[in-house]
Order: sequence, then C-alpha cells, then structure tokens
Amino acid sequence: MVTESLRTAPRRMSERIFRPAKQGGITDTRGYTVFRIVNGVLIVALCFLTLYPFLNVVAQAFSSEAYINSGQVNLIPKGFNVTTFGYVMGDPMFWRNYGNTVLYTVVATAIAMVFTTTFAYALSKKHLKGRAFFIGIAVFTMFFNGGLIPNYILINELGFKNTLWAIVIPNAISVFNLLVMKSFFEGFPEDLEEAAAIDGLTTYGILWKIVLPLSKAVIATMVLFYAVSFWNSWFAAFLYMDKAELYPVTVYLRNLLAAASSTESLGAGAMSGDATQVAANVKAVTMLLTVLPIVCLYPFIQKYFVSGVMLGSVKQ
Amino acid sequence: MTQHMRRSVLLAGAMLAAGALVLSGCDSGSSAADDDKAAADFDFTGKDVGAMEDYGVGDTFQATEPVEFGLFYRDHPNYPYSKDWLFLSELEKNQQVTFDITSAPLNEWDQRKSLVIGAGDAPDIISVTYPGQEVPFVAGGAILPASDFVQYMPNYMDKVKKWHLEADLDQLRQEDGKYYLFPGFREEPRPEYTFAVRSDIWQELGLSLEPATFDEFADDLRAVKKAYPDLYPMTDRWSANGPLEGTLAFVSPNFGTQAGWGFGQGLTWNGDEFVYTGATDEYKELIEFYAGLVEDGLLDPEAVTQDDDQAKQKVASGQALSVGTNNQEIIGYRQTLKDLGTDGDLAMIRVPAGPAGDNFQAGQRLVSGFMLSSKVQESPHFKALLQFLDWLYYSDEGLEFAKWGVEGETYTKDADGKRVLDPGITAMGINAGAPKNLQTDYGFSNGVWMLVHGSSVDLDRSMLPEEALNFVEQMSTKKVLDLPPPAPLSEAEREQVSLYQSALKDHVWQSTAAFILGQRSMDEWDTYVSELEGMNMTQYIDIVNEAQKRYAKANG
Amino acid sequence: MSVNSNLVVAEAVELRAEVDEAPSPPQRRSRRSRSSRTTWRKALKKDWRLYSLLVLPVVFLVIFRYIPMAGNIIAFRRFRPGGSMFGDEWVGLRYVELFIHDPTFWRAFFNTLILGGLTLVIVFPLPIVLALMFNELRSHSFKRVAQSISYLPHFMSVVIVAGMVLQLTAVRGSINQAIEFFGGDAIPFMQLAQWFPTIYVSSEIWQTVGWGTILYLAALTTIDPQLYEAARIDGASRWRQIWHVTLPGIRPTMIVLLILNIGTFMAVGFEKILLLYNPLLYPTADVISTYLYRVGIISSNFSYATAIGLFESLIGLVLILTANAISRRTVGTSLW
Repeated sequence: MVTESLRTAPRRMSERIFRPAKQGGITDTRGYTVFRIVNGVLIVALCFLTLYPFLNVVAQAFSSEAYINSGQVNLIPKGFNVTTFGYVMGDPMFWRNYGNTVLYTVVATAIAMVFTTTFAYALSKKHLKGRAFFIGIAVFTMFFNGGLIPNYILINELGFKNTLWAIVIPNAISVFNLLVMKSFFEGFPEDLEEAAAIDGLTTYGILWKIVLPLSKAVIATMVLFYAVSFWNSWFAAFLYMDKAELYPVTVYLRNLLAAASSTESLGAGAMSGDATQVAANVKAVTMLLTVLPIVCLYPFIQKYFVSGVMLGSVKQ
Repeated sequence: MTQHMRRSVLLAGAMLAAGALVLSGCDSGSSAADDDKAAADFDFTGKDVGAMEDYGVGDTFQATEPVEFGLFYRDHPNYPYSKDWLFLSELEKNQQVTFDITSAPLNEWDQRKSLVIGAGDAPDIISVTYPGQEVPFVAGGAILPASDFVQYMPNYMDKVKKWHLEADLDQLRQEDGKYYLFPGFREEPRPEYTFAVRSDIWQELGLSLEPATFDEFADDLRAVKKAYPDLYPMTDRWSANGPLEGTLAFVSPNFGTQAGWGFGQGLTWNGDEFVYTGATDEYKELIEFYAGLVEDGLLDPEAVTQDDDQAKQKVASGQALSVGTNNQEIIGYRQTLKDLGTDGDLAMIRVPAGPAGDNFQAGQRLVSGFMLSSKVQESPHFKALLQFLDWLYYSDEGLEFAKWGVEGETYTKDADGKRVLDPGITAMGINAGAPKNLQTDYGFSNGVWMLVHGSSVDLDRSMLPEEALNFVEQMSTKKVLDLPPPAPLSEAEREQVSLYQSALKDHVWQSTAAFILGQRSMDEWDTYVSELEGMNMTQYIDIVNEAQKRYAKANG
Repeated sequence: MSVNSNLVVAEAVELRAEVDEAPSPPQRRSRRSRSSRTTWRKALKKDWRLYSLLVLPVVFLVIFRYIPMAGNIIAFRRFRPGGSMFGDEWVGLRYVELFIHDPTFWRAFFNTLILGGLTLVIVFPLPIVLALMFNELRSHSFKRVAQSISYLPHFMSVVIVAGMVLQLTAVRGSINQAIEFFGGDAIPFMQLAQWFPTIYVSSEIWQTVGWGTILYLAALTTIDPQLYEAARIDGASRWRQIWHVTLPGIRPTMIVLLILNIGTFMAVGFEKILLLYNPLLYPTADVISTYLYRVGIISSNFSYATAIGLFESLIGLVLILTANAISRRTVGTSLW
C-alpha cells in the first residue's frame, strides 16, 4: 500500500512556476519539455480555430445588415445594431418558449438520469442473470424504431399530446449514454461495494451512498449530454405540440429562420427596414440566444471533472 | 430551404401530370365542368345545420346558427396567431363562424401536414396546400374529392367559368377523374421574377432595360464586361438545390422548354406525345446559351452552386452587377446598397424573348389552396362549411375582406374606388413606419385565410408597389403558354415512376451544371442523352404516355 | 447504520492492475462463485433489488420503443396516408426490390459507407489525442479555458456551420486566397465532387473533436493517481506513464465508444450534407438520408422509406454484433 503524500515539494524552478498536476510532480526530460511547448502551441492554435468562427457569429449578431450582406463583418461588429435582438426578445412568446425549454430540459434530464443510471447500474453487474438479454433489448432499440406515424399515434393514444410528457418521456433513455455509463460502473472497484455490503448496505444504499458520490465525473458528463441534447431538441415538439405557447424556443427560432429566408411574397410582411435587418442576422442571433445559457452553465459542471474516484488521496 | 421546396412544388404542381390539352376540336372545357355536375348529388339531410337556405353569387354568407370548424393553421412568425384579431371577431359577428385551431409552425408545415394526415388526425380544413401536394393523400381516402362538391359552391363555379379555369383544373385530376384540392385561383398570372441590374451602370453604358432578346441581353453583358473587366456582369442565386433553379424557371419558356423550378416532372408535350424535357433540343439550346455566358466570363461560375448569402454579398459589395430577383428581393438589395453608401441603384428588366418566342410559363393560375378532410362528409355542418369556404375564398366580397379588412376601419375607398389603407396601419411596405400592422395586429392578408393575394386582378395588384406594377405591365405582352394534357397515374405506376423521376432529374441537374460550367463539353450532349436512356427514361415516358391516352379515352 | 464512504475507501484501497477484469471476489456468504446454473427463481430472490432497478427502464423501452416498432411492417405492406397505420395491403418485398434495382440508391449507399467510414477512422482517434494533450497541460486555468473553447463548435447550429464552410471554400474565400498567395490556382471546391469527402470530414473534425474529449476526460479522472506514483517510482518517464497508465486507464471507454461508433457509423449527418451539397456533388455527397429526402418530396412514400430504414438498421445491428464479438475475443472488453 502506498501511503506517502502525493504532493512532493517541487524540486525545480519549472515546477514551481506551474502548479504540479494531480499526477504528482515529476522530473521532466528535455524531450518532454519540448513536447509540452509544442502541445501548448497546438492547443492555442486549436482555441483560435474554434473561437474565431464563434466570435464572427457574435459580431454578426450585433452588426447591421448592410455590412453583413456585403461580407464585411469579421471579428468586430460593424454598424452596431441590436434590432434583431430587440425583435426577438421583445416578443413575449419568445420568453414563454424559453421558459418552456428550461422546464422541458430540467424535467427531461432528471427523468433521463434516473432511468439511465438505475438501468446502467443494474446492467453493470456481471453476475446478473439475463444481463445479456437486457443489454440486447436496449441495443436493439438503437437501430430499430417505429417511424414517425406509429410514434405519433402512440403518444396521441396515451394522451400526451400538447403536454410536457410528450417531450420528456419518449426520449428518456439514450442507449448510447446507457452503455457508456454501464462501462464506467463496470470499472468501479467492486471491493468498495463489497465492503459497504459487509457493513450492511443494500443494493440501493450502495448505489446511492457509495457508487454515485464517487462517480461524479460520469454523472456530470451524462447530465451535460442529456441537458444539451434536450435543450437543442425540437423534433419532439414538432411532432406532438399543436399550440404555439407550448413550443420550446428552438422551434420558435427555427421558425424565425424559415420566415427570414423565405422570399414568399405572400405574408412576407414586406421589406420594411426591420425585416431586412432581421433576415440578415437572425441566424447569428438565434444561435447566440440558444448557446449562451449552455456556455455559461458549462463551467459549473466542469468542477465535477476534477473530483472523482480519488483512491488513495483520501487519508484515514 | 422550405421556401425552395414550396416554390418547386408550386411550379411543379402547376405542370403536374400534364394538363388538359385544349385541342381545337376537343370540347374539354365543358366536359370537365359537366363531369363535376354529373357527380351524383350529395344528400345533405342532417348535414345542413347552420347552412343558408338561399345562397348564391353575391350573397354574404351568414350561418343560421353559430358554427365552429376545425382548421389546420400555418403559423407564420411574421404574424403570430392571436385570438384577438379583428378578422376573427368580424367573422364571428357577421358570419357566426369560429375556428378550432390546430397550428403548426411555418418551418415544419409540410412535414407536419403530411404526418397529421398520415396518422388520420387531420382537422376539417387543411389550409395552405399547393397543387401537387395533395397527391400522396389521395389513395388513402383521407382527403375529400373536391370536384364532387364544387357544384355546391356558386362563387367557385362562377369564377371557373368567368376566368376559363377548366383547363387548369384538369391538370389536377387524378386517375379517377376527380381532383382533390380546392386551389386558389388567379385571374391572371403575375410575373414576379426577373434580373435585377445595376441601373446606374446600365445607364452609363447606354444599355436598355428592356432588351428585346436574350442574345441582345448577352451583348449588353459583354459591354459591361468590357467596361469593367474585373467584375462579374452577372451572378445568380436560388442555386441551393440545383443550378440556377429560380432563373432558369423564368428564362426557359422563352427557349421553348422548362427548366429549374419549372422543370416539374420533366415532361414536354410536343403536340402528339410527351417527351422528356431534359433530352429535348430546346433544353439543349438553353444550356448552350448559359454555357456561352460562362465561357465568355459574363456569368460568375460560382452562381451555379453558391448559396443565396454569397450571391447577395457579391451584389452588395459591387463584385457582381446583376442578379436574379423578384419584387421583394430587389428592395433588399437596394436597401443594402444604400446603407453602404454606394452610389448605385438597381432596376428590374423585362425578361427578354428567346429563340422560341416571347413567352411566359404555363399553369400559373392555380396556386395555394386548401384541402378538406374526408371526415367532413359526416359532419352536420357540412353544407355550411362548403358555403362558408365558398364565400371566404372565392367570392369577391370574402376575398376583399380577407385581404383588406373592414371598410372604414382598416381601409377606405377613394373616389375612383381605389382602396387606401388607413394611414395608421402598414402592410406590405405601404405606410411604412405606421404603428399598427394589418397582418400582425388585425389578422388580414393572412396566407391561411386569403388565397393568392386576392385572386382577381383587381385585388391581386391592389397592394403592390409601383415598381412591381410596372413590371407586371411590361411583362403583360408576353404570351402565356398552353397547358399539356392530363396524364394522371395509378398508384402503382406512381410508386415506380417517382424513382425514375428522381434519378433522371438528379442526372439532368448534375449535367446541366456540368455543361454550363464547361466541365462537360456540349459535344457530349448525345452521350448525355444516352445516359438518360440508361436510366429508364424511355420506360418513364412510355408509362406517362399510356396514362395520357388512357385518360383521354375515358374522358374525351 | 450510517456508513462513511471515506472509511470504506480507506478500508478497501488496493492497487488495480487491470481495470476491466474484475478481481476475483472474496467469499461472501450469499454469493456463489460459479453462478451460471442459477435458476430464475434463485436469481430473482437474490438480486431482486437489482431487477427492481430494471423494471421502469424496461417498461419504458417496451412501451416507447417496441410497440411503435410494429409500425415497421409497412415496409412490407402498402401504407396510405389516412389508411391503417399498419398498411392497407400486403406487398411483400416490392419496396425492397424497388430500392435494390435503383442505381441511385446504391450510389447513395456507397457514399454513406465511405463518408461514414472516413469519419469513423479519422475522427474517432482525434478526441483521444486531444484529451491526452489537455491532460498534459500543467496550468489548470489554461486547461479549463481551452476545454471550454474547444466545445464551442459543437454548439454552432448546422445552418451556420454550413454557411461558414461555403464561405471558406468559395472561389474568393479564405482557403483559395491562401492557395493563390502561394502561387496556385483557385479551386472551386464545391463544384468538384472529389473534394467533398475532405470538406465534410474536416468540418466534422472541427465540430466534434472538442466535445468528444469530454467522455475521455471523465474517464481520465477515474484513473487511480497512485498508479502514476508507482510508475514514477519505478522510473518511468512521462511518455511511458502515458503509455502504461493513462491509455490503459481509458481503454474501456475507448472500446465502448469504438464499438458504438462502428454500429452507428452509417448515420451520417443528414442536415449538414443537405445544406452543403448541390447536384454536382451528388456522386460523392449523396447519402441515403438525402436520397430519401429527394425521393420523398415527389412521392411521400412512407413504405419505401421504411424499407430502406430497415435495411440500414439491419446493417447497423450486424456491425455492432460483429464489432462486439471481435472485441471480446481480441481485447477482452465488450459491450456485453
């Protein structure tokens, strides 16, 4: 058993500059130092490649149509203009739909997490009889589904149409997430669970008190995956919702996009100054409005990626 | 993208499955109408609750008791649905009609419609349906055969007769001789698409805005190129789904063929039989013309594949000096140029004549309309529904109401009878800046309740800006081409044929682009035609010709 | 009785050699060592709690996945919108024959294979590499910021991404400007079919590589830090630590993801291709979903689409079973 502290005092200056990684301070070879510099440079380049287009979109969202339409907008907004924002955010339906999205996402993620976690945990027990069968029926659904009309009829028959349940229930289990979670649980040290069992915990207790608290990373990951996917989803609402008040904001925004790009002279509301401005940057604005909450949310989730099964780092 | 779909279905549908050939000698006009009258009279006992006893042309519909109809409503984000609309309250007050609305957003309209009808869940009235879109639903019996019931709609029949729409309606007939859509009528087709050119440059070089022929137009472009060698005289748009789809649609009739959005099923009637459009000499001529434009550096090669944003950017930045346009888009181009402080302006030119004459495409008179679910036959309000729809969508009074609103409240009529919108209300660019909007605040000029901008020439043009009116005037001297004869297919034929059509059209589209760009030399045309033959072109044409003969025999 | 998890951890600490092979369990009074002969009754009695956890999800699957699956029967029966949900008449393999004899379908099929395959081979390893690269960053704040930035492309709507790609590849776009700067001729990328796979895969890489690292980063946190200690004590350089500790540590995640991706590789992005392609690119860009979309506009034929869907599903299922079996045989880890 290794019990010495991981945080050995840094020996070299380079290690004093950078905090030691959680794997412990080590002596770097020269080759490795070169690698680290190259690594840093590459990652900075990657950041640039991914940030630049995003900033471009942000700039477009705040620019006026003339500059957008002539392709002059780069990283800085030109002809600063928040008309489209005003147009969108001034519509009470937008906020109503936004609230819907938040509600749907929270409820759907909660339900999905409960189903997926319990399912994954049960399936991760290799001694469980019939395990292969249950995994099989899950995997099968990954490939075969009934198609639009049977699903539509089913949801109708269940009376879910135009209710919250039509959105949060039908997609409650993503088999992909299920299998990934199962694999994480399989890797969870059994001896911990056995020790707990010896101490008198039931399966439920082990799951709740031992496994879950120490699996924060994977739980955070799954919450993130589900939340993002529900946040961005519009398909279920398209299928099962009839009333504009019930739409999630993604449907609202997609609709706006379609209207802006439609040159159908009927009902295009004519080309008033506002309409052309909206048409020019509605794509950018809708993207920003959808993305912003998630981007802001992510840092909170990130802290769960640091903790985890810190075996050995916990002292008696 | 939805817009492209809509356009292509609109125009495809208009050319759908061939139309009635008004052959001299074949009295198809009256025979079709007779067919409709000959349909067995429907028994309305128990189904005429709320219907008017005496209802005819010129009568204002008013239900004898309050009635409610189910409506599948297309929610357009430019005018989101509001139950407080004046339109709805007037309807309730004067007609005693209210709606039970099932809505779907504009973006998913077609898919949702397809799903809802497919699942058997459709409300009574299914609005905003373009000719051709009703075809998949015919076989399942979900949709009411409109032709059987139009005899109970006096305004409908009146307009069909007044405007000679029998031949157009025959285009919609299915194998059983009936048609299933209640189309929107257009008294006269309204040209909307043409080229927008930089009028300042055209003026500078002394070029005409009404070139007589396409060759002359090409020469004009050459002059522009000479004066501005670093710029593109022309770029184009609407190429997202296929090469120059929008532009070829209005250019091709002048070459005696159909291309782009007008291509439809790819069938050209040569007087005796159908041939495949993509293989005809006229189509070749059109492609040759365009290939010449690219070769001479007059047309931006990227125009064949770029998306609309890129095209707009080239125009706005002055890289390109002309582009395809319609009434709406030119206002946008102009606005951008002005905002950028460019000293330029745009103008719509008259579409020139081509080798096949000075033509305008056929079949533009039937547009977006509505379908009825076949369940309405069981409804006690059936007769009232028919009368109401007849009044709202086909009577002059109803059309005016749906478009303009209430006289004295939303508009007034001046001494000449011309309608003037209330100055506090804006609509379609009129009275820009006014606090209220006719569509958003009052619910008029709504695409769901107003068919085709009003149908009659009078109403259709009543809200147009002057530029659009001038353009329509200019274009009115063009000859409107005739419709081909109908050739409705059976269900099994349609299943097979749709695959042929899809494969053939893909190849035509691909080759059109390749020929225009010079990727493929025009010398290879014959090879291309034989490639089409290898893709079941002959089988396809044979099936269609069979269907045409079959229909002609059964229906005179 | 409350149990302190830390105490439990401290009691049970031991070095883990192989992550995927569960160490042989110590004898516990209610466990049998070789349990393959357990009957259902005994299994239920012993593990009823575990089975109880299964109940809700399985019921969910049955109701919301298996019941609608019956609708797939319309691949063999003619479905008419408005008619019965299960189709109106039996037509057997008619639709299957229809698509087998359609050369456009086969072109779309092979394009799907190629694009899917390229995406799998090229795009799959990259998040792993990136995750390892992130892992080697010493500065926590830089690492966090870089990670967050790398996720941004995933959130960009496909409409915008397509627009960007078209802008970049335009004849006067950035890429061609760079080419001309170095003395070459501008290439009309979006008009030459041979470039599409490159463009598509590149945009996929850009959009997914950052997001794809999340799972691996989560997996990295489950690696016992003591293994690194031990390796360091044994004199391993950082490279060898990566090779002998990190990689094996995330191997189960890698394998699971690989198998899943092999199974689903034919689900090539529909909307992105639809926005990017044009008829000149059909020879390499047209995939099954876009083909169905075009055919569907003309015919709205649900039955045909279902028949093709079943064909695709079958292939996917076979692929995942094969991948799983191979994985079990060669590496020891598998999905089940």
